[in-house]
Amino acid sequence: MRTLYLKELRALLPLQILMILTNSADFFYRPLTQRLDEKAWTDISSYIGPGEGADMGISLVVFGLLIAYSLFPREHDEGTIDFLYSLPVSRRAIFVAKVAAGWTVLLVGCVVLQLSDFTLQSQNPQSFVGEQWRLDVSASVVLLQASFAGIVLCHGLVLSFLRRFGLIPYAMGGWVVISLERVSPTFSYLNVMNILTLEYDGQRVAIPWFELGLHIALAAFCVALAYVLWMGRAEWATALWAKAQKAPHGRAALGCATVLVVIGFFVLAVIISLGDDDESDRGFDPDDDGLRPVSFSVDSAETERFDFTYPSNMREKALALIRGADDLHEGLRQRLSAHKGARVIVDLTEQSPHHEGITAWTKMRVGLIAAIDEAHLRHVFTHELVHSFQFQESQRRLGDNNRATRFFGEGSAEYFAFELVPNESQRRASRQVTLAAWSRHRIRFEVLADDDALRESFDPHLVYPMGESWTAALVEACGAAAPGRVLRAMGREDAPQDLAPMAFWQDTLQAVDCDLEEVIGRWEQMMLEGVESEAEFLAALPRLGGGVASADSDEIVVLAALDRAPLPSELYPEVRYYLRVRDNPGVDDSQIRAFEGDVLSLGEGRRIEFRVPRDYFHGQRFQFQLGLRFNPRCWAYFEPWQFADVQ
Amino acid sequence: MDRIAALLEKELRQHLATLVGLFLTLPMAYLITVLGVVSSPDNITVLTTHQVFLWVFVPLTGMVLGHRLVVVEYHGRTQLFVEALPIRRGEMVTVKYVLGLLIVMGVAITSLLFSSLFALGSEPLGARFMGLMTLRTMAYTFCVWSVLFAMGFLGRFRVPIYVGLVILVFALNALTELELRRFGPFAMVDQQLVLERVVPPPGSALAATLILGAAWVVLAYIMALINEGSIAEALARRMTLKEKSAVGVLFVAALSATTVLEDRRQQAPFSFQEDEVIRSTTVPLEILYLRESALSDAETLRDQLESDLSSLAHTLRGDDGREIDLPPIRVALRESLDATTFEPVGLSKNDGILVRANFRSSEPWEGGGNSSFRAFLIREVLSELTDGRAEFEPKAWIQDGFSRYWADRDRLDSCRQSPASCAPLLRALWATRGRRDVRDWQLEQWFRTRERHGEEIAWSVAFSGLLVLEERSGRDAVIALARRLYARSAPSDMRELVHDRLHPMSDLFEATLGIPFDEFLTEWNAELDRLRELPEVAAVLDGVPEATGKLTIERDVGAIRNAVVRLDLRPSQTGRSLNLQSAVVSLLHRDLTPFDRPLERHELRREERLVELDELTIELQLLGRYGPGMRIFVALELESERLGCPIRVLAERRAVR
Repeated sequence: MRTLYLKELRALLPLQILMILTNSADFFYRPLTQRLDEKAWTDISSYIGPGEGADMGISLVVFGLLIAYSLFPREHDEGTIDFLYSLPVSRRAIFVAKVAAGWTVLLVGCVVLQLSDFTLQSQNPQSFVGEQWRLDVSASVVLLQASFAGIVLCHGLVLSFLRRFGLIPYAMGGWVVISLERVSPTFSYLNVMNILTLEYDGQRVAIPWFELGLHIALAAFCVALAYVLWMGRAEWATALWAKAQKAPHGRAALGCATVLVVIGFFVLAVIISLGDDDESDRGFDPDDDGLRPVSFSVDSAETERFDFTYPSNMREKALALIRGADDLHEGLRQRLSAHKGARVIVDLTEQSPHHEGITAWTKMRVGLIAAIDEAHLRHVFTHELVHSFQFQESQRRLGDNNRATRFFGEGSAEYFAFELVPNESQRRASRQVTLAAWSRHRIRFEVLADDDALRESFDPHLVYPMGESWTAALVEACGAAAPGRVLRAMGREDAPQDLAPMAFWQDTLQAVDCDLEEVIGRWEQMMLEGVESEAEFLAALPRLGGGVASADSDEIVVLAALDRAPLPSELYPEVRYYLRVRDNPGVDDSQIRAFEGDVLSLGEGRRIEFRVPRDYFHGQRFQFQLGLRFNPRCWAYFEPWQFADVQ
Repeated sequence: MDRIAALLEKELRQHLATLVGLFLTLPMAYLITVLGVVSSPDNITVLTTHQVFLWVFVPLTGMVLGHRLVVVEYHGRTQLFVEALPIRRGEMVTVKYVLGLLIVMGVAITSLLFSSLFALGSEPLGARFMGLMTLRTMAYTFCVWSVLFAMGFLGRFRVPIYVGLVILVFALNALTELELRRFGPFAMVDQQLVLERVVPPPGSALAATLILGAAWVVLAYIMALINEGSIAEALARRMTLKEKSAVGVLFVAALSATTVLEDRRQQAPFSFQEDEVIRSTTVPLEILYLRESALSDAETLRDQLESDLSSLAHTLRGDDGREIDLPPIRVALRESLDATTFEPVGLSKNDGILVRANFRSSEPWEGGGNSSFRAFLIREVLSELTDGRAEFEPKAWIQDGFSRYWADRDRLDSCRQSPASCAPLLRALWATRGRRDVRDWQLEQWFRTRERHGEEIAWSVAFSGLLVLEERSGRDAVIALARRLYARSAPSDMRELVHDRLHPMSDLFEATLGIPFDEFLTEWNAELDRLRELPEVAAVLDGVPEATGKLTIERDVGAIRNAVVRLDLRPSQTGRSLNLQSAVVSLLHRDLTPFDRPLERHELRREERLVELDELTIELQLLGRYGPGMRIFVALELESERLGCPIRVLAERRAVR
């Protein structure tokens, strides 16, 4: 048995070397390119960060399957398994030796990764960053990675029986699991990759014991099945497979099976897609109009600059917008000094619960049905039209640099929407949200201009009101034509690519002879003056704090407390309180769920209660942020994100 | 012609099952794509279905066909039977290629037609738009099929080559200015495929697509025809495990190499664009003052900085007498900042330093802001000169101390003569009061020391060290130390690590100054003790609030936690004895990741409160802001007029339970 085990290890040695080199290649090049005594563990092992780790799954899946496919198929295809059978060892021993050798290779790969990373980071003698390494975290990572790789190995043992055909249902199964998870986070325990995504309780890794146990149990079943398939009595399974491959009707049967698997997969995918389309359980979004899809016939209309499609039964509402559309186009074109561009295609049948409008290039979709009134519709339409100009004037670079430009894209769209469709009360409310966020969260331009950083800590919708005020500062500092010039500077032929956000803005404004520092200076000055003029409002605006108050099998109750009296109802009659939840900072906006709170007491206790169905959560921890909306037509003010345990 | 027809018939008969399979599965694939696109919250047009289908299913179809038409034939060596017939080898390859192309093209065009039908209800589709979409679709399909067809002839190396191509494309995209989405076949199927209704695809992208496709066709023919097809036949054998591993190692090496190689277009060097900029003629210094009324303040600052920087460049000159090259230094006026807060701005490599400050003349600026800013700027210059090495923690205290020392170099004598009126020295004396001596581990862990005391106080402690050194060994000793640390270029690799291991702090003092470091520390502490005992110093220090802070995490309902910070003033030091009615207390806080790193001041959230000092205990609360499982940093600062800076009475990293 031991000899067999060693023989298998020898056979897998090339893969062992490859795995070590793949995972630990930086052990060789980092010393030549970096000062190791300045590198932290988190710099070297990016997979240990909170919410990170799943990327390692790709490498571990590849090696898990490679090793699994190296254990049995070749021995059978080339007939060398018969030599092993002729040895005085049981079939079980052969099987165990092979599987153990395979898992050993994976385990060694994971351990060597930790050792090499430990060695690299240990050169850093500094406090804080030099003291990041912890044995418990490293051991937890090895446990999770080696378990994951072992689970994939067990899957691979079964799949390899079907040779390359086995990879098709495996890939499809993976897709189905990921789709199910997207439809409902409840199914996330099915996704084995989630085992690798690290969550922390303080500084300790929170091991997902339930998921780990479940997948290890499934893997054990796979091992048993693989044993039956590869080592079963008289090799009936392998003989059957070989026969099926040789005989024409066998190949036909395999072909039919393939088609059936693929069709079955598609049927499942259709069902999942339809389930995904069901908006009824998305929670409540402060920006959700509560609209649900309906059917209607459509009409079309043409103007000088637009081709409209609209619901026939909303002709009057549509025509009110269509009549002024060319004027809005011309007004915007002049403000941006833009070319007329191509005709704009406007689909007014939009019914999305996620947004009021969406634009790409010269195609716009605007929610005519959801619009509160004509002024609001014109605001949304103008906002989207600005996006169309942005795409064209910047040669799509605005979208290419979304991380750095999102605040400007949305903010300048808001700015021009307010300029062309004036609404002072709404603009003031928008600025009030900006001022509250700026003064309380100390949001610097460096954060605003880096969408990843902004959404990691703050309300991702802040780009709209804050970007609007920043665009106003840009106009003040660099002239009314500056937004248009900035867009064209982004699209210039020789614009450097993939710059970090600050470098991007320095370069772009420099290209239009404008100074980023001056714009930021004006913006901050504007904020300071705003804080002064809105001091009364800001002093009255409550701050919210809270956490999970209780949890049962159906729902989680989050309680929020106000740190001062609520806003006076005579001035703010429609104040509403919201809770947003998300899994981690990396999720996109559509995966953020929002819930409106019930006011328990606005007296001494000042408590708001939020009830969240438990199946919205899939990890052990989640993030939430509390906020309130004081103007129904404006953005809500939100506190920073904070973590909580699901319990 | 008969030969071609016979070949075609043979191929169709041989691969009938595959074609039937594709016929059954592709409509399902299309259907799921439509549903996915329609249900996507970001969907702008149903035509996107066609784009997605071209990205995913057309290549998959091509891979299946390529496998059946080429790989299976050569792997099974059945092409030898066909070659034995009176048919040219080229004809066999042509039939396979054209058959595959027609099928893949048919699939792509069908997708376009169905997508257009679905889109008709919500948008107009003109002839030009349809023509443009068809052109892009056909060019892309031709290129993709040509690549996949040719890959079939590469036999056992095709999978590694697929992987290699992916790595190559990834590397080119990530490390060079090549924008993949605007290049060749990728540009054909980007979002413009279904959005651009008027302008044809860029000629260069179209040409690249067609040339690329043609090149792969040529490669396929070369592989199939050269040496009577023996190369393709030889390559069709199965790969051994060793070959797989060797190829894998090559990929790892290639990937590693891409991390070192980078060839990007450089952005234009940073410069101020406004007219409101004054420049120095002697040092690379620019000051953006933004408004006319700030010009005189900017000029005053320029004069001071010119003096600081030119003398620094001269002092840190090399052994050959050449002055060091200062990096470009820029200061931008930021009136929203207070006089003692400075914001360094990240610039690209070689762009130098940019710092925001409020240098308008004011009491706080004149009272200490100016001096602190100059020290801050010198500190930034030292970092830039050494490519960040000056901030290496074991020696970072010297950087902090030397910066302040250099900014105050004209006041050092008065500091020594009248320590009670020297703010930096007073801060150091206050920080080291009551047997809180400076220890070597505090200097080694300078970032912790800085966090515990706050920046201003910590910098002053470091400054006091250099002041003592100057008094003991003269100014030349301080300068020798600075030159040793900052007048050298630090390599960005392990050579610097080795250098630092060979020259620790003790060696630095011993070799440069001839003083054992322990001895210096003892003298430093003794001198601070002596100064603290001076009556005028003691009188000032007695007026500094003496307080302690305590952080408590209190449980509220369920898992809600409140962070409560208590400030306790020493009983003898209520507001009355301090001659103060009130003081500003700042609560600095933020959440932490599981892995520690030094925190910058601007990263901290701040709650300020004006508190009455007639009470012994003051409490501040953060209600429900941090929950169990989070780690937080909390610091409490009390403004001290005597020291001219906040004193930190609490700095703690804590896990909330």
